[in-house]
Amino acid sequence: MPSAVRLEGIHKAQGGRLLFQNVSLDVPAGDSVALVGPSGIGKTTLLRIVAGLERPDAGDVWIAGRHATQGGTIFVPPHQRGIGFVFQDLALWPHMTVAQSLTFVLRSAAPAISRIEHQRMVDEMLRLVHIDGLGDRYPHQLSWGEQQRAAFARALVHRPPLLLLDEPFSSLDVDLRQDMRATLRELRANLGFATIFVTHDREDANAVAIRRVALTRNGGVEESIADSEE
Amino acid sequence: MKLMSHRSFGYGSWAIIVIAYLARFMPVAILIVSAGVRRVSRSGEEAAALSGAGWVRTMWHIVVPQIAGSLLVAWVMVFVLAFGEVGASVLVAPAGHTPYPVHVLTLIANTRPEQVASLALVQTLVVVFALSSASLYLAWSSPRHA
Repeated sequence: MPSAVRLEGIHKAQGGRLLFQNVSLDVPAGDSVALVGPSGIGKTTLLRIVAGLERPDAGDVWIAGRHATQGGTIFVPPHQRGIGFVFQDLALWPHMTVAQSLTFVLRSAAPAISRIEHQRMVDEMLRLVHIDGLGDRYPHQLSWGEQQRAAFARALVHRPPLLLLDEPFSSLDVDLRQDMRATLRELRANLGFATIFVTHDREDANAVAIRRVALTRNGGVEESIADSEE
Repeated sequence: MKLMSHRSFGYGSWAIIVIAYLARFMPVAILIVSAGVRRVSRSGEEAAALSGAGWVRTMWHIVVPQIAGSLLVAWVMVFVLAFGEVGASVLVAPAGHTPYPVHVLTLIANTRPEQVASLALVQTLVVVFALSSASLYLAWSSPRHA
């Protein structure tokens, strides 16, 4: 089985400042990697390069065995990469209910599947993230924790083999953070997707990830095994 | 050499009125719509792209619904301004295509005040109806964008 993501020699500078250079990373299917490092070091930029939302200055990106990016050239655009993404600001669509958002994703990613099957998948995903019964709510009618779960549901409803998370727990209180870590571990156990998880919180990294990859100030990476999985 | 007909550029047809109004009021519409577009989050569009939606689908289902209020306000503002526009209308309106405000202006000089007043009242009612309809729609849709 090909790796969920393979990066080779990724180099990126922004505004004349080197963010990282020669970053290589292999994320096998089902693996979970925490991308850690201080603020402003380029963690989110690296995640966006994987998603195809930004171009590296040099290097190659493979997604599920497909050569997706080479240098500044994107071969596979974001909408064809089959990636789930949870944004730091969640980026929920304010004019759609939770169920409508999930249905929109399914109709975009899997238009050949019947509407009845779409409905079944939406219901199942809402149950998996523990917000069944809230499908008819708009984002502003949900608590912040429920919005987090809605963002997870939207990112995963089309069953992507890779989930990218950009500091999704950074604005949660301690209890809610524990809940969301547990939910993410449950989802990974149920659905088997690989994750790359950007965080500057060591506890989040240890609780959610199997491996920890640190971006360093000199532009390189250091890899280690996460301390423990709760 | 035969001179190009002035009709080639739309003069002498109703199209010149539309072109004149576009030139006159497009900046107002652009200002209002661009303010709405700036409120649409970039990550919302990116989330749609990563969900498998192409550019057209993202625009139609994600961006346009979020700027619908701005589009409506821009349309109403341009409609209200154009409905009372006299200057450009007088300059470009062809024979047989007299815009409403020009018609009212002509009647002021040629008919009884009561008749002009009734036409002005109709004009006012149309403007009030357009503004009220837009306000009601915005009041109905705003909670979803809170």
